This record gives sequence, C-alpha cells and structure tokens, in this order.
Amino acid sequence: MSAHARSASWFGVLLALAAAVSIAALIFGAKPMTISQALNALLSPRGGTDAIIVWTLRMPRSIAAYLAGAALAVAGYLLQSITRNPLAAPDLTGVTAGSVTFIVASFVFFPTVSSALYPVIGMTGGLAAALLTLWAVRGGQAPPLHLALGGITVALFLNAITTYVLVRGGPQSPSLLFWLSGGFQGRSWSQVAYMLPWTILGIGLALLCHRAISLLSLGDDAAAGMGANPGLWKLLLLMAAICLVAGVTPVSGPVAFVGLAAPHLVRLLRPESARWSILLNIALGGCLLLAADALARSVAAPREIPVSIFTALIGGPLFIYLTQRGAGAGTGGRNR
Amino acid sequence: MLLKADDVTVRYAGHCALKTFSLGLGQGEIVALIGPNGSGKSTALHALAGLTRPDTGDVRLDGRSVRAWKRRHLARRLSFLPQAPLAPEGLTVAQLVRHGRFAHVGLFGSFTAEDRRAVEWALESTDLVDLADRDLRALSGGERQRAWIAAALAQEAAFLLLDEPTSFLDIGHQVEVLELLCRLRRERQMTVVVAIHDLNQAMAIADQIMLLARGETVFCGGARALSGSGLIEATFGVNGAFEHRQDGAGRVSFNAHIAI
Amino acid sequence: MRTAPVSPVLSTVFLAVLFPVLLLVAILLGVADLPVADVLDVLLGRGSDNAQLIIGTIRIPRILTGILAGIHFAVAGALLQTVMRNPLADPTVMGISQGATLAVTVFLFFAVYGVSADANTLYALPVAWLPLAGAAGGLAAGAAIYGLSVSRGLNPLRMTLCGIAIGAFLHALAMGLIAGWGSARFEIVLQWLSGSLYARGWEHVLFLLPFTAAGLMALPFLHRSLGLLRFEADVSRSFGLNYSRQFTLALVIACVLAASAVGVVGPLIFVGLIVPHLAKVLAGRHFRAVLPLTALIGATLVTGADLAGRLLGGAEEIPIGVVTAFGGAPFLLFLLRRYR
Repeated sequence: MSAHARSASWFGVLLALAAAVSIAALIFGAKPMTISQALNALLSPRGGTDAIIVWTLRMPRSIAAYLAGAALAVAGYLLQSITRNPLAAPDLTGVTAGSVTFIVASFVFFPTVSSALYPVIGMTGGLAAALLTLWAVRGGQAPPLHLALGGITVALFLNAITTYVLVRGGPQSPSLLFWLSGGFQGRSWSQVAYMLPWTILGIGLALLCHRAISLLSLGDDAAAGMGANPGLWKLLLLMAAICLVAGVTPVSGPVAFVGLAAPHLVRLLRPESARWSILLNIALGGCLLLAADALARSVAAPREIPVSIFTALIGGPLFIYLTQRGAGAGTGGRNR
Repeated sequence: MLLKADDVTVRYAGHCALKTFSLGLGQGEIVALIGPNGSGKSTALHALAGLTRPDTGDVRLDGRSVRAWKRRHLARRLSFLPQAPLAPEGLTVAQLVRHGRFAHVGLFGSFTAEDRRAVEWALESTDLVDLADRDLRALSGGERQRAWIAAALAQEAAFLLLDEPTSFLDIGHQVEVLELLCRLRRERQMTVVVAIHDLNQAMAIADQIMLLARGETVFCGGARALSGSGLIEATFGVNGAFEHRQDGAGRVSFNAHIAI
Repeated sequence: MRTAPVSPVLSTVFLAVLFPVLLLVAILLGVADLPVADVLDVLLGRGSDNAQLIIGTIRIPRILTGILAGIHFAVAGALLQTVMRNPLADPTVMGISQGATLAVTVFLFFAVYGVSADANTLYALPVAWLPLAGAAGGLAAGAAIYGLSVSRGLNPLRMTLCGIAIGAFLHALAMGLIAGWGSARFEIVLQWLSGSLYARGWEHVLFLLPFTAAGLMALPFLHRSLGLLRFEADVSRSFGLNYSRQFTLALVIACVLAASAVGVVGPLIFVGLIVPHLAKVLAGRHFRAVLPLTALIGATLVTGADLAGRLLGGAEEIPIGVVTAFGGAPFLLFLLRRYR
C-alpha cells in the first residue's frame, strides 16, 4: 500500500469512527434513546420531543465538539511545525491562556462588548501571548524545553490575572467558571455557526500553505536556502493557528491537551505529506474531542463531568511520556 | 598495580559500548586511549572513574572496587575531568579550583593552609595565577580548559583521568596541556589516562597506547609496536593513507595523505 | 547579569533597614483605621482592647505568615534552581504548587459532598485542614516527579520537563474539578488559588514555623553540597560528592518548604523564581551569601507585596499572588530571553 493510500485509508477510518461516535452521542444522554428512535428523530426533524432533543441539543453539541477538536488539533500541528518543537501546543505556548485572559477581562470589565467580537479579542490575546513567548525564547530556535518553560511561565502569569478577574467578577464568576472549565454543554446551532468561519479560515489557510509547512519542517536555514521566507511564513501560520484557537475558545472554553496529543497520535499514522497531516489532524482531533464530550455527558448522567478532565486523562500521560522519552532533544545523556 | 580494570564490559541500551576492557596502572605513567568516534574511550574512562557501573568485570583501586569507595575518598586518589564540562554561571577561576578541594574539606570542614597551598600549586602549574579572579565565562577556550585541569589537580590525586582535554584548543594550547601532563608524571609521579584524538600527540607523550574500536581493545602497547602493526589503518579504515616516520630519537609519527 | 557586582555588605545593610521599615508600615496600615499612636501604644504593651485585638490577632499573624511563606518560596526556588541547574525552576514550574492545588480542590470537594450536599454548609468547611491537604498534595507531586526520574539517573533537565508535564496535567484536572463542582462553592478555592494572606492567623504561623525552622537549620549543612550540585553530575561526582544523596536531600527540603507554604497561602507564583536571582545579583561572587540573602529578600518581598495589595486594592484587597505575578512577569521575560 502506498503512503498516499495509507493516509487516505486512515482518514476514511477516522471519519467512519467519528460518524459512529456521533451516532452513539445522539443516543446517550440524560434521556436515553434506542438507535431506531435516534435515527427516526434524525430523519424527521419535525416530529416529537426526540427530534427536538436530537436536532437542537445533541446534534449541534456534537458538531461543535468535532469542529473544536479539529481546530485545536490543526492549531497544535501548526505550532509544532513552525517551532519544530514537539512540546508546542496551544496550551503550552500561552496562546490559550492569552485568549482566555482577554475574553474574561472584556466579559467582566466591558460587559457591553458584543460576544461576536470575542474571537477577535481572543485572537489579540493569543497573538500577544504567543509573540511574548516566542520573543522570550528567541523565536523557538532554542531547545524544546525552553519553549515549554517560556510558554508555561507566560501562561502562569496570565492564569493569575484570570483568577484575579474571577475573584473580582462577583455574580458573573460562576458562569465564567462554567465556561472556563471547557465543554460543550448547552452549545447550540448559533454557536456552531459562530465558530465555523474561524475554523474554516484557519484550516483553509493551513491547507493552502502545506508546502511551506513541509519546507519549514526542515529548519529555517534550509527553508530559506530553498527559497522560502521563513519569517513571513511562520507569522502567517502562527496567525492561522491562533485564529483557530481564538475561534474555538469563546465557544468551548479552554480544552486542555487536544492540541498537544492529536498531532502526536497523527504522527504515529505516518502521514504521507503535510497536507495529509492536516487532514488526519482534522479527523483525529475531532474524533477525540467528540468521544471525550460523549463520555463527559454520559458517564455520570445526568451530571456532566468537565470535558477537560477526559482530555487531560488522555493527553497528560502522553505529555509525560513524551518528556520522559526525551522529546526535549538535548536532554539525553552525553554521548559516551 | 594500583588501579586495575579486569574484563570490564559496559552495555548501553543493548549495544556493547565496551567489551572486556583490561588495564593495569602503576605509578608515574601516561596511558593514551585512541580510537575512532564511538569506540568506547569515554566509556572506559567513566568505568575507571567509577561513574559507570560495568555489566561484568570490575575496576579496583588499591584492591577495592571503585564503585564501593565513598565518592569523597575516591576523589582523593583519583580525579576525572569529563569532556567539555560546563561550569555554573558567575564562577571565577579560583572558585572553580577550590571546588577541587572538596574531597579533602568535606561538607562541613573549613579551608586549611594545606588546602590553600594545593589551590596555589594547581593555579601555578597551569599558569593561571594571573587569571585567578577572572570570571570563567570570560576566558578563552584554552584558558577555561586549563582552569578545569587545575581543579582536577587541586584534588591532589595520584590518578588523573582526562577525556579529550585538547579538543577545541588551538595547537599552542594543545601542546601546553600535553607538556603539563608530562611534567606531572615526571615531577609528581602522577599516573595519567587520557582519551585523545590526535595520534601523533598520543604517541609523543604516552608510555602505553590503547587502541579501541567498537568497544574492543585492538592494541595495547608502545608507540613503535603500534606504528608497525598496521592496526591504525585497519581501525580507522583508511588503507594506505598513512606514512610512518621515525625521527632521530626513535619517536614515530604519522603523516596522513589526502588523495586528490 | 554583567552589572557591576553590588557590594553585598551594602545591600545587606539596605535590606536590614528596608525590612523593619516595611514591617512597621505593615503593622501601622490596614483596613481598620487605627491611629498611629494607638498602634504604637499596643506595641508598647498598652492600648485599647480593640486595637490590641486588631494588631494581635489580625495584623501580626498575617505579617508573620507572609514572612514565613516568603522565606519558604524563596529558599525552595533557590534550591530547585541550583539542583535543576535551571534558572527558571520554581515550585510552580515544577508542578509542586499544582499538586497542592489539586489536593485542596479534591479535599474541599469531598468535604462538601461527604458532609452534605447542602450549599449552606459551606462555612462549616474544615478550613483548618487546608494547609495540611495542600502540603500533602505538593509533596505527592514532588514524589511523583522524583519517582518518574529516579530510574533515569536524576537527569535535571528531564526532571524539569517531567515537572512541567505533571503540573499541566494536575492543573487541568483541578480546573475541571473546580468548574464541574459548580454553584457558589468555588469561591473559597479561587481565593486560595490566587494566593492570599487574607485572614491568616496564628494557627497558620504555627503550622509553618516548624517547617521554617527545620528548613533554615538545614541550610548551613547544604551550603557546600549546593556549591557542587551546580556542576554536572559527572563533575560533582569527580570532585567527590555523593551526587544522588545530596541531590535528593536538597530536593526533599525544597519540596517540603514549598508544599507547606502553598498549603497555607496558595501558590504565590514567581516569588521562588525571582528572589534567588535578586539574591545572586546582590551576593555577586559570594556564593555563601546567596541563601541567607534569598531568605531575607523573600521575606521582604512578600511583606512588601502584601502591603501593596492591601493599599492599592482598598477595601477589596488585591491578592498577593496577583501582585507578585504583575511584579514578576517583566522580570521573568527578561530572564527567559537572557537564558539560553
């Protein structure tokens, strides 16, 4: 089987898996249904409570989760590619924390700002945080550990501010906190429509630039030697990644570790090219978050468990494994 | 024989870094370890210094396994200088050299006149007295390497193990370091084991040369026996590229030819 | 920092003056408007009952808690930075604070649901046990990091990474738990999370004091091994140090100091990160002076930051963790950029 065919078949398998999970996600929930009930409701949008539950509650929620997972995975892939750093991810470069802090601050201090502007606000914050981190670690040319350290410290600082704003937030804090825990409870069609353009923009940009991604993966000097302008492309791809995170964050809140874990899992599938990497990240990231969300709302139904707990349970051990394997190149013992 | 390695074998992640390595060392000699990259020179030194646990075999100092010695007691008899060591920031030359006295001072002791004298001597031997108060990071590569050697000397150990002490030095500083080693053997009866890349330098200073290849000891003996053996060519895989020379004093050297 | 070394004597004298002045100001100023004369009366053993109550049970224990916590964070940071050979190591970066956070969250979670699901029981929470839960959580996180690294020969860089990973993991779990918990009960965790000296009393001072005493008494014994732990493992072993033992010892002391302080005042981020660097600049080449200066600067900084938070925030004081975060961030970015 050629590398191309292998990537394509993995893509198909993941999409089928996502379809299966989303059907399962339609069935499970506070009101259990049988498969036939769910399918009936799905086919007749106007019939009965089942249809209402499926069409206005479970479907948009599943689609939101899938979109968010795809966006975060691609964002993580882009960040890992441009920094050439396996530890780069939206949460580890401060991007997520930057978006969150800016959105929380505008929610509390400028309540009149329309929520339609939140992606823009989040983007500003994410960009500021990312540039701060990258400036501090000299463009990520430093060893992987430095980027992780820089991103973590920037994120810690921003988290402190967020926590303080929450403390000051008074009556708004519980709803903010609900959002901050990350999740898709009660997300509706309007929210899907809200994040769709940002997701399409970011992923489209990434797909358009897939050649540049391959070149950048060889390193700045090599890319420049082959005729690409690394600085320009990196900025563009960084913008694409932040656009994805900032589009998702106002809807789902920060969801931990998907952006870190998905690209690594995709790498295990040995995608044929940068383009297939992006496509597989879309398929796998979406599937991952869809499954995590389905678990989050069905494990302790009718109570919801924050989805971040599940993504952390998947991504956290993977992260620890990566660091132990010596993903922070240069951490290995000296050559003897 | 005071320091003795018997059939030492070391494995890293399944592959054999050092195979049945044996070496006996008395007082006042210089042994040079040569061989291609990855041949096990560093591993041999680490095993001799008790920093690597051999999978089989043992290294004994005064009849006792070096792994069984207390580190501080071992450091009084044997000092080891790793390849290109890194110093913490903001250390002066004198401060670095004083760390070499830890083996004698211990965690809670204080510096005695004896300790100060040893530091003085180490600085003098390496010609660093004038630089003693300079920041280590402000020194040139050669000066920094000498400072590290001074720290090893301050331990006043009888055995000195050095891992490629002349790498990254210009030719002038290389010669200085090698002359210092010869002087230490002559004047202080020290025993030096040095891993080194330059074959001619190895042959010039060493009483005994060990040629390693892929962890195995290919040759052990004097320079003249080595030059006639053809083992150098076989080990480095450059047949016919070397020309052997012997000068008036009976010393041998190589000339490498580059085919164009 | 290639600045001309400041004279350690001069800077110590400066600190020795600054610290008591800050202390005095911290005692004099507060939410309850006590005239200076009243406060001085209390300090001299006279004064009204009300003033005595405020000074004796609110201000003084609060200030003392801050001093002890400052010493804990600063010294823990200095120890971690030394043994990890990483100028950015600190209890929060290494995941110790996140361990404490998760433990406190879990503890409150079970305390609430274990006792009753009634929201009104909030104020009957066993708040007194929080420091202990936090300290236990911090120690557990430290032990986990150590346990994952010990089989790999205690490589400091790998260990730092492992700490970051565990910290991020525990943080995600804690945030999920806090939010999933919902309703109004989260406030107490949030207060604690942002690092606060609000309402810290004598019981907190007494909780910290044994740890402080033990930690400070251990410092003179650590001085020389810390000097050697700054080198790579092979080098310090060649110099004769029992590397693994001394490394573990320093790490344990750092963990105990950090975890106990996090338990009491919450994660004061950046104190452990910044103070050792300030101390190093002041100490110049006198490595011996670094640790004592670290302790002194830590105490001064936390007292000052708490004072600033109280004065700037007015009635609703700014949590000290936020003050240290704001003050520390620029410094930190400068450090990061310089570090390679």
